[in-house]
Amino acid sequence: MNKIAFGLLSSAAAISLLLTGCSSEQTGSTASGTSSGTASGTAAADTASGSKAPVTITYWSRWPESRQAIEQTIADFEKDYPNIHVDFPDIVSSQYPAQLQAAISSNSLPDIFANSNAVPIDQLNRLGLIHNLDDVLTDERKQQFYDGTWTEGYTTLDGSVYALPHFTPRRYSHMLYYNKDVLAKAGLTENDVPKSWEDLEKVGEKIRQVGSDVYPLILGIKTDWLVTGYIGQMATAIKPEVVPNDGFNLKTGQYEFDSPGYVESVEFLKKLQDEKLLHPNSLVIDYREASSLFAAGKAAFVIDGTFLSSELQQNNKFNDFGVAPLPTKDGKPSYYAFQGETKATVHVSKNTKHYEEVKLFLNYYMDHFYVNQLKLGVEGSPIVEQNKTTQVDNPQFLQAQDIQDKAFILSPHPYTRNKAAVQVNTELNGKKPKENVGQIVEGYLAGQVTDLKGQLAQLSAGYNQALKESIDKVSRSGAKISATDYQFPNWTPFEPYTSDKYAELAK
Amino acid sequence: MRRLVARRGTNALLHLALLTFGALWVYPFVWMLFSSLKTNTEYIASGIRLLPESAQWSNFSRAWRVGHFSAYFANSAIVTAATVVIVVVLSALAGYALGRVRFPGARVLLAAFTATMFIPKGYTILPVYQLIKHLGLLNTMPGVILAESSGAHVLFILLYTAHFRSLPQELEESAEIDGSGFFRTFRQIMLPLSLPIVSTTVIMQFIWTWNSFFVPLIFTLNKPELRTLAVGMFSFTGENTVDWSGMAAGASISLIPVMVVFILFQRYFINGIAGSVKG
Amino acid sequence: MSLGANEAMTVRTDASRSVVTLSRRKRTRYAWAYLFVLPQVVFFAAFTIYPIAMSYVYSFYEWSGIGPLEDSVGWSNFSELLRDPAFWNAFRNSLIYIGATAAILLPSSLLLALVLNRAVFRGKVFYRTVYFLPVVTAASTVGIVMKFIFGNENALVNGLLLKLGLLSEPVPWLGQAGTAMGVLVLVGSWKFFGMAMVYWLAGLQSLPGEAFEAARIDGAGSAQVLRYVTLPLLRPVAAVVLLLTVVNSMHVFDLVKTLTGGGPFYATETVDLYIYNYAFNTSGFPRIGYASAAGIVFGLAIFLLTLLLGWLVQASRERGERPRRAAAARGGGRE
Repeated sequence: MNKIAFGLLSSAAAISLLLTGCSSEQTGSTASGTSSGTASGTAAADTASGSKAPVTITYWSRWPESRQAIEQTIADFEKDYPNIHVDFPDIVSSQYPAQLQAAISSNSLPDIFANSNAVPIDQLNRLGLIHNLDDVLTDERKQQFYDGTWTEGYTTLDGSVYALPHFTPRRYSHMLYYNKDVLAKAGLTENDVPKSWEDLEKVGEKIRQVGSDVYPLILGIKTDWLVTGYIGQMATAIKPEVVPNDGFNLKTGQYEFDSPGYVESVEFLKKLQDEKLLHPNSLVIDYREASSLFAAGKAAFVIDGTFLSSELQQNNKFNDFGVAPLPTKDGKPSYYAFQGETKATVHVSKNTKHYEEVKLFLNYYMDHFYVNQLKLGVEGSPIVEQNKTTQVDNPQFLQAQDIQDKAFILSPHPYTRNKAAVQVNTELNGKKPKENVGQIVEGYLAGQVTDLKGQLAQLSAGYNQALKESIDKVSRSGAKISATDYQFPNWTPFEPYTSDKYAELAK
Repeated sequence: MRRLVARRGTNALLHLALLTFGALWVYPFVWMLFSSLKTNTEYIASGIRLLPESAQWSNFSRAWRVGHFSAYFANSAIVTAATVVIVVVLSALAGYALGRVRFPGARVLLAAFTATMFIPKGYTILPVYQLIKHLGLLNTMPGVILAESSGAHVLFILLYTAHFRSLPQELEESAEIDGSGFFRTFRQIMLPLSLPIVSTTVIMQFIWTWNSFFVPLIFTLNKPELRTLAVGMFSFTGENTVDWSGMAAGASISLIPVMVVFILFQRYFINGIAGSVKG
Repeated sequence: MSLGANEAMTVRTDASRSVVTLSRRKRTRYAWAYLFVLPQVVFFAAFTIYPIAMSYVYSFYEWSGIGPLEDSVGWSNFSELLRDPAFWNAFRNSLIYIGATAAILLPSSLLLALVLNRAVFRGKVFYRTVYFLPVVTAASTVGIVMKFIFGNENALVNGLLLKLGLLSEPVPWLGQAGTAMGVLVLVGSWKFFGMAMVYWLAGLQSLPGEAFEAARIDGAGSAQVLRYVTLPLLRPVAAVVLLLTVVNSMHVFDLVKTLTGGGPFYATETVDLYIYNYAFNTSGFPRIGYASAAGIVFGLAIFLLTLLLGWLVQASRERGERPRRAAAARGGGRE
């Protein structure tokens, strides 16, 4: 024992020795390495600049569903501007945050790149990494976009534009997809598609008769963010003051995941599970497995985002489906808050050497890419007019877009009221609990969470604590912000919250 | 005679058991192979049924094309081969010195190598990234190879150390009398005696590098044409979309070389490890 | 192989003392030796020591991996970590996984190795290859495939068990806390089984033949040989296999991520995954410092565990040495 212990301890000591000595050794190895390194480095650079005339700009996107539309746009763009080549590499979107991290730390950001939650816009700006886009997005241009697109902290900072939307900002709300074939087998029509929870149970009984392995509803519970989203949206039919996007009660200025809306919605899923109306695989699969099983006729309904129609059509070669609004308790309306949260945007690197070419491309992006994407049935355009004038031959996609449009209601956002809230959010990002509603749903359905309300209350408490700390920290640093900036007493849920409402509050 | 029959009986029983369990071992691979011929929907929904309704050979061509497997295959081969050479040479050299020469500091070195196997590590990819960047090798093939070779080869060093130490002193002495220098003795006498260990390290490093995902991804950010198969596999999963059958085809393609290498080298493999466990 | 390392520590105690009286031969040998280890040392310092050292530095910062390291927070990452029940949950899961895989793997792979080590047995190479197959496969691929095999409805395991009448209705293997961990352990063992078997085989082949001859001359049956000769002689090998199994089980990230994603509700979240979620979580802000602290604390615990195992290795070596020495009376070892 002693010998071993001694051996290991002495090796630990040796390591600490090596550690202290390593800085010098470090430079040594680096120095010896550079000679050979630069040799091959310059060689590579030479070949790259060998054919000098044409300009290459690089674009990193993290949306595989847009790939086809982007490639098409680039091909057209290169035809129109033969001297510009747009490099559009494959991105592993699950690793995109790590990729961005690495690129930033090595100062090798591409000319144009997709945003990421891991590096919020205000941090990018503080680090001096992103280019101001005011000359691309002139006031005239900006007006073409949906109201609320140019929101502080998402697309703009101090009134200047730093990000260009990639999808319609009114994305994504949740909806019910139905398999027409399964419905027909159960002797049902599209009129029987449930609008309320009770309908769903009633219809469900009939669907269970179709076959032992066919279930009314299938969900991919493993995809926790999606679960969080539709539970939140269902909850708005019960308690609309809590916005579904982040479980925040905009009246009280507190997170409220334990509101009756959330609790009842989760309990409804549990009930479906107990009544065997929920496909038993739901608990162990993700949303893409769920939608494939749906396409294979194993379930009549699936709840998903707007982006499912193109997934079903392209990846599953399945087109016999329809789209309906999310069923809710008593069939009351639900909504998703549109707060200008343009979650999918692209930035331009401040160090780009080809800003003029980038500008050309961004303009092309707005004029052609949005339309291409729309035509392919991937997602709506951020430009209002394009959505109206573009001919799209894809009934389900249009149906989904229509439902989505109605689900989104302009709601208040603290960012618009107080710019310092952007900083608070950056702080909050690091402090808030890692847990989310979707995971708690999983735990509840799997039987590990028994006290649902308690667990949700704990989550709310964690969030509220983190928010309080973040506000404190930001206000200590000199910014004027307090908890009241998060309360909107003059807001009525389901009614658009326009700029005059903010003005009214400011008085 | 009777004993022989009895033995035959036991052997038959053993074969039966081994084959039954072996089926459990092989089934997932068979499943994957067949799945690579299914449609995406079938892949998810067909359950126990192995055979596809109709073989979708297009999955393979898609994998080859979308996953850029033709290009990535070559990259994988180059990166893996180079990494294997670097790692095996470095650890053989170090192991030889540590195993055969009691130079001052040898003990400390060996202990330090060993300890890092167990040393708590935090988040270490960024420093390596910075280092490769300072060497000017980011987004180059040598950069990827270097980063891949950077993993802990401690196990290998220990294997070589133990092995070289176990070779008899007389070998070296007689070589020296014949006028062979240190390096020549190593190269012409000792190394040929180490084929099992070399095979072991080659196989293990091959498996690791071939399947390695994160390093080739991160170190080729701006040069996707330098990526490897393991990274290519991930072209099939997107933020809101997954192409399972394409992925299964890709997995099947990328499994083949590893299998070949293993089958080629496996004869030496076990002997190699045997030498080391003996210590 | 860590046997080799330990030996190096104990055998070479006298090395430095003789430095004073260096002969010329020795000096050239030393020079060559330094030359031989140099590349490895450079690599080691640059790619192992330096990143590890940096990860220690990070652990004292609140840092997202981007921008300068400026927000020094002292020990607060560590204290926050130690107060986080989720970390302890992950810690416990990792330990359970490590312990359970070792408990399953060691005896089962030994059994197969004993069979394959029989003198007259056909198809050794075939079986070896079959059972080694999972080792050469990427863990993430294994995870994806196994997820389907252990699925609920219409999946292999449930289908088989239902057909055999062992189950009356499908079990959500990956959807319940206990069974999910069970499946993870099974799959992890399945994956490493071939490797453990090869280690055992190697160990078996390294045993001195003289001991077996002696036993046979004494008229021992094969069961007796196994019980009184093979197993005691294998003790040091067992320690090595155990050690390697533990080291392997410490890093199950790819498998957990693809098979269970740490679920249901953290039931299979290992420390690996916990760290990943802080370093790369896409829904929030990466906390590199905190993730580093978690890695360090877990590593420390494993370090202690290794000390314990090292002691086991040593103890069983000392016990195993006697029969071996007795058997190999002439002694094959150097020095």
